[in-house]
Amino acid sequence: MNKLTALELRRTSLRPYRIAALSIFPVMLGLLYLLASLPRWEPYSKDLDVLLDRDGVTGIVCVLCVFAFAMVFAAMAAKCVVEEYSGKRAVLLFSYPVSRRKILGAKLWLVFGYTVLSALTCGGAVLGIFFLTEWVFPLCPGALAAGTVVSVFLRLLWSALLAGVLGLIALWFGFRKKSVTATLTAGVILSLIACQVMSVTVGRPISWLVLLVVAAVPAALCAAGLFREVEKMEV
Amino acid sequence: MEYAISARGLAKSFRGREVIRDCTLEIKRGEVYGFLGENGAGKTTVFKMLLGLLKPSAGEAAVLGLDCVRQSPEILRRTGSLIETPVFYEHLSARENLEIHLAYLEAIGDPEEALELVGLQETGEQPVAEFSLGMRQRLAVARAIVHRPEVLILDEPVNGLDPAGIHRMRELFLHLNREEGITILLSSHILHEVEQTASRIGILTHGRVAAEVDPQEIGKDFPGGMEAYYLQVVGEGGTGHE
Repeated sequence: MNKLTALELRRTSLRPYRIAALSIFPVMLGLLYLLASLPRWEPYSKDLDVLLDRDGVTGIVCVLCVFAFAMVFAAMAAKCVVEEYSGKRAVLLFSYPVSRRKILGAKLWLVFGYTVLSALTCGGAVLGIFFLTEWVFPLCPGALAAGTVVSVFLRLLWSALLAGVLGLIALWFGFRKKSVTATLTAGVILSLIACQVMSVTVGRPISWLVLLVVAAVPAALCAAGLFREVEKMEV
Repeated sequence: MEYAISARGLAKSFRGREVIRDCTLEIKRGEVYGFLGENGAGKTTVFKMLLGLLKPSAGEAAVLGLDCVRQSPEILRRTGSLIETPVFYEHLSARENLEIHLAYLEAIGDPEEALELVGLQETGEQPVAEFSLGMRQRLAVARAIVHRPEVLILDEPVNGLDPAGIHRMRELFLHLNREEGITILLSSHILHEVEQTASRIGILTHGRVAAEVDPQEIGKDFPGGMEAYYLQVVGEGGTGHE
């Protein structure tokens, strides 16, 4: 599997996804500081209560991270999986004397791994910079506690995994239709639903873990469905 | 007699429509077999069934004595193929494309030599995305031969090539066949080309091989040559799924 994943990596141009991740970074960073500053500009607004502590501010950024990287997953999966198994490209793929399951597994592993790692790197860098400046020139009230940092990074991990899991479900829809558009549309719809749930439960981090576990079940079924599908495909 | 390729009673239906029916084909080791047929006659379908990319609805086929359904991976390892319009990893060079192909096949081969054989040795690091149609076709042939297969299955391999390219490919196929004993099954719509390359020609019409002929013998009965013979065999018409 490692060899197949390495081959996938070699023949896949990651440049567009690297650009996407690099573009998400300044947007998330800017948004984080904007959200952290809002209560100073509108000190009496009740709507901004969620932004009064670091958990709330960073939580909103994690929600955005899920949306952005679920879309990166969907775009990458559309290119590396949906397009590869459509039309004439599938003939090339099936011309290799390698188990179809293993090739698909390598592809899914690459897309999932790349997306989750990108989300962790990008989100980690944003949160790292934020906590560093919070330590020196705090925007949010109260002292920065080590527990908060750990808890926020844990939530980032769940968010990164959730982005991958949602992308996987979106891929299933796109694969069935053999359509890049369907993959992206499913990605938008699923991540919007998840983000909605996450944003109303920002104050209860454990509910994000529950959401991740709940989403992982259909994602696993979708992955199994994809494996079955490629096994019986004729090109 | 040991056949490199054999098919008996082969049939394939798509959505209830029978495209290949009772197709029988026997190609000896070391032969160059030209496969002719109208557009949509089912040549590509037969090729795909031989490679295990499609499952026959009925009948059986074997390549190098290996069953096309159950032993497809071994067939793919020991054959080289060019099916339909070739696709590549566009951002990579020709050499990198061949290296990846070899890695998937877990085979040893010399990409530089294969590129030289098809006349693409000067392409260097140029990405395939910048290749012309003819260059892509030549690269597809290089990919089919890079691991020195025992059998070559080539679906219209000279498509898009200029006359010099066609000549080069013909010389290459004959060299591979005579010097290395590679069995070749190829299809083309350029009758003259098939006539010059193949040692035997089969014509697929109405889903089965309706006629087989030695191209050297055609002139005796058909003063109009290959074209007259071909038109007589397919004269009744009828097209299907390619």
